[in-house]
Amino acid sequence: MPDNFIKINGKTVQASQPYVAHVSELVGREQEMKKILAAWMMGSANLPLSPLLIGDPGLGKNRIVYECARMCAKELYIYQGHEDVSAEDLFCSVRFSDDPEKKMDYTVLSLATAIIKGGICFIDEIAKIRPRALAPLASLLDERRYLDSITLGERIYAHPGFRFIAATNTTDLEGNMLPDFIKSRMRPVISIGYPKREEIKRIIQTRFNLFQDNGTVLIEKFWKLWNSTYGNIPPSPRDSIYIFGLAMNISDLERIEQTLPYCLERPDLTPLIKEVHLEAAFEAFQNNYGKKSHA
Amino acid sequence: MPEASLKIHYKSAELYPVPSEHFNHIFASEVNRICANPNTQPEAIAVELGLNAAASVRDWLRELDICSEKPKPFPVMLGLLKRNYVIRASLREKVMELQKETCTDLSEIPPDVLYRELGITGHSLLCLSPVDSIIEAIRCSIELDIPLCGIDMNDIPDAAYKPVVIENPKYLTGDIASYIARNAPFAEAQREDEIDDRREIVMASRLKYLLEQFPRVLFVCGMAHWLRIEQFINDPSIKPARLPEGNTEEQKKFRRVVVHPLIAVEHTDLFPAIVSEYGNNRLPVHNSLFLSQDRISLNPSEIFLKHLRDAYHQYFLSIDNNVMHLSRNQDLERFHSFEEYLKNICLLNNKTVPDLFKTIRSAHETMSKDFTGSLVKSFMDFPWATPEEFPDCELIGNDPGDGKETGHVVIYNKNNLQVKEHLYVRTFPNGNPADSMKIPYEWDYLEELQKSLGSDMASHTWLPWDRLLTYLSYEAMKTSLRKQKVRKTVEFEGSILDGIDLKETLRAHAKGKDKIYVRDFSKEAVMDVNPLDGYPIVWILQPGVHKGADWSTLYEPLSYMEKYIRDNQYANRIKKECGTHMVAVILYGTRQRKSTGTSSNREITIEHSYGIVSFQPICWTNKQYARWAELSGYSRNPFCNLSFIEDGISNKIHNFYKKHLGTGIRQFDWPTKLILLALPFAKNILTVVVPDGYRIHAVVYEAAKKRRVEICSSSLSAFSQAHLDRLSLCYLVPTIATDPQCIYSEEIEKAIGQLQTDNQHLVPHSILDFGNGIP
Repeated sequence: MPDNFIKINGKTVQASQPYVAHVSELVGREQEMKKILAAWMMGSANLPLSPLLIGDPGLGKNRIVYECARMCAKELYIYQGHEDVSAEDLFCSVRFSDDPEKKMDYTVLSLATAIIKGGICFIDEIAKIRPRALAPLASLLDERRYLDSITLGERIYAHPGFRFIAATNTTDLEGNMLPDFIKSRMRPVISIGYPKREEIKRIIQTRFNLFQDNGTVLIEKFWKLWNSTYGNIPPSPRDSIYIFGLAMNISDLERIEQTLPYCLERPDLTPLIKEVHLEAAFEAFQNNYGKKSHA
Repeated sequence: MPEASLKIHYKSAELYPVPSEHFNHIFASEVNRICANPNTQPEAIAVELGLNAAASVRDWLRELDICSEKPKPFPVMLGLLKRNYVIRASLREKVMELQKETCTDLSEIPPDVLYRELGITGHSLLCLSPVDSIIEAIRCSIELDIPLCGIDMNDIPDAAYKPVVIENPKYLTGDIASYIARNAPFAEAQREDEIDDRREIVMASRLKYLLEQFPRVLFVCGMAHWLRIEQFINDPSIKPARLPEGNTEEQKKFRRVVVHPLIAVEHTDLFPAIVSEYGNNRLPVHNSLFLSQDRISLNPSEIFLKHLRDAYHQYFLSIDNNVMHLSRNQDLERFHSFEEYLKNICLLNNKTVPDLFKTIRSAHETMSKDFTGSLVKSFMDFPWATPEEFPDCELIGNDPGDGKETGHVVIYNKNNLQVKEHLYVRTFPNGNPADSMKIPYEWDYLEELQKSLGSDMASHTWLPWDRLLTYLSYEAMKTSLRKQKVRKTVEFEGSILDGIDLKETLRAHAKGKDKIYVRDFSKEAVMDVNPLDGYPIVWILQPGVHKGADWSTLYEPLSYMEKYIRDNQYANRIKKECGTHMVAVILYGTRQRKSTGTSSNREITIEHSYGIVSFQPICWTNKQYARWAELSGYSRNPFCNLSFIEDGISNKIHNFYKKHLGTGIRQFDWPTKLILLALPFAKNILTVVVPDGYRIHAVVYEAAKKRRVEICSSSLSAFSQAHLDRLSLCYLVPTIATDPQCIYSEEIEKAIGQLQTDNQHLVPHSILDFGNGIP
């Protein structure tokens, strides 16, 4: 049986693949990570808790989960929530088999794979999923720790190593979108706030590993541009990375402009961002997001 | 705590260092133990404070009479506030640039700009916490009547101290020397070379001088500095340095403050009860009767459990079962998770007993709001020092309008509880704690004071002005409602009237009717309108930039309405969740004060308004306000505690509007802000009265569309200029009584030149009688 197939009560099903994040060092967020790890720690008498991360877009909720999974050395299975998810979509689907000897193939999705293998299941944007689609999670997140799959016709009990976490944007929670039976099972509710200025600086420096001598000047320039447009509204790490990333690309483009055809993959170029590139990137950012507060 | 103290020799002298974790009673207790033991009792004490700071603390502690034979209880929490004059060298260029950009001297740049642009706090706050080893050392120096030396530099720049995890001193095995040897290298990670290198050299050289003068010296400093200081003491190239003379003028620059419990609690070890227990267990060091090794022995975990039990008891066993029935049942199921989660959090932070912040935060993240409130009540129940007990001191507290922004504090005016000064402070000696959070706590003392101010001292608007505003707003509202009420679609009969109604025309064509429909506004007279439909009303009287203009807010406190409110349970919920004051009017303008010449020497404040938002008719009795609040479901006015936007638009307010309008309000000019401030509280229409030619910002229409509110603009020219002139002058005056309505003295009438009964005829009956039929 190939690696990605598992047996559930005699049925062979195809499992999902874990996600391995290839990301740079995480800056800050130690307290948030400690909270998640504390929630996942299982005592002799207590079941692990299932945290819910809440925060504005771009603050690094997913990134924190990747880091926690890495710290626990557990496989991470991610499910992206959206409005059209049905209850069964969360854990199993069935399709015509490629194998001429079989009629159908079962595929267990991220959640079910994590349950069976004892990995971490992370449902992103959980508040976007309709309440009735979330109903089966009730039995999984309390002391019962199982899931009933109609498609599979099986009850799947969670491996002791199974952990659950979900995230949602603050705005998605405004209409009280999460049903009470999920809210009451998803504890602790961890708010992810905006990083401090110093952390943004470290994120940029770590992420881009750039700047040579003008690094500080560029970061100061960034703050000046930001404050003049957005005042006290802080930038999210995603905004900051986007602006510096674009500035770097503009700078790279300038340097390869003479050589046609353009080679779009140029990892050999040493970054040489100047203030003018940053200004151009910021202008593009502003045009995309407007002057409104996007935080 | 260890049996043996850390001791090092310098020439023929002995140095007893106590490298401490600040605000941890175990280290304070070690200082006390060394000072009480005749074998280790020092002849001088040195502390990691500037000379003037140490002297100021010692002088104040002496005045407080807490070190005498019959000592008074140590008041918690007092503090010393001081301006910071030194910035780190690496900021020099940035500072120069900022000065150039703002064309302002560094000393005149507003504190929020300094904090935002350079991370500089303008002030330092030293909290006199009895459980801090430095304060304990100063206390011991008074009791033993021995010299005290602040050997640190008087001014030090801001440092960003990073939190580190060190071994819990509770589990000390062996003596303090081995504990320090194990943990000081980790604590050292908090240092900032740029700042601390110089300080440590200075402290080491002054210590050497002291050790030449006294055979036995006790030295108390932060653990992070000790390894370097020890290294410098052993370094012969660092010469002894004579201590400078104390400067009484410099000492006067320390402002004495009473610290609000929400700041104080960050300096009370794990939680405030530790401070009480420490106070109960502490023995004076000059009393030779008490010489036991372990003089102060506390059991924090027992104290913690006692408070936790109290909180459970209060919450789960209280009689009022109806109020929180559902959340309580859920909490009953969840409190094991809360305890387990808290235990794990402590484990990961190397703590054996949770501190207040971890406990509250864990409860906040796993349990209901009510349970968290119960925990806060139990743990924050402490006899905090009040400004009343220390009339010479100012009150310092967190910014009431803001979320928890580290270091942002305010000084209150004790007479009216208005914010007098905004400051950014760092607490020293250890910087601002990184793990603190905003605790949902309301200080009883302030609440009581606020109530008494509400009934006795606050100024009230002048009723004739209230009536005029009500009348003019009613007229404006009538025009808007008329426009809205009679808009209809009619078949095109030769005139396009108010434009083609595209939707209706398309619908007709889809049905095969070849007809054109147009919009029509017929001017039907509206005789009477319900204020619930038309408020709030915005008046832009004079748009443009006005020097010195600022925001002010007029409130109707819920305490005024209390006795008329029928559903007190709901009102209490509003009070708890939204605030104790209902915002009635917001003004943008300048103000001046005028003495009434009355015997009580009270003043009249004249608000010259350029813009006004009225959220409801304001000439009402308290009962009518109560009816309004109830009939509108408390949804047509903003609520707040101490201030709404008088102290600037806080993050909380900004976020509120961002949530409700899809845009924040900080970035707009004041007229746009004023309209946006009113928008979330409008029902279907928002009337904006503007001068001819004034264009309302597009963002207002966008936000209104989102909320399905129609913006109806009226022209100021439709109103009499004399009325508008009076409207722009709002008088805030002292009253004789406030219930059922304000009554003023004759002197006030004379000072203003109007009778308090004036303008009664202007207000329509439907407004005057509003809510009166409801019992």
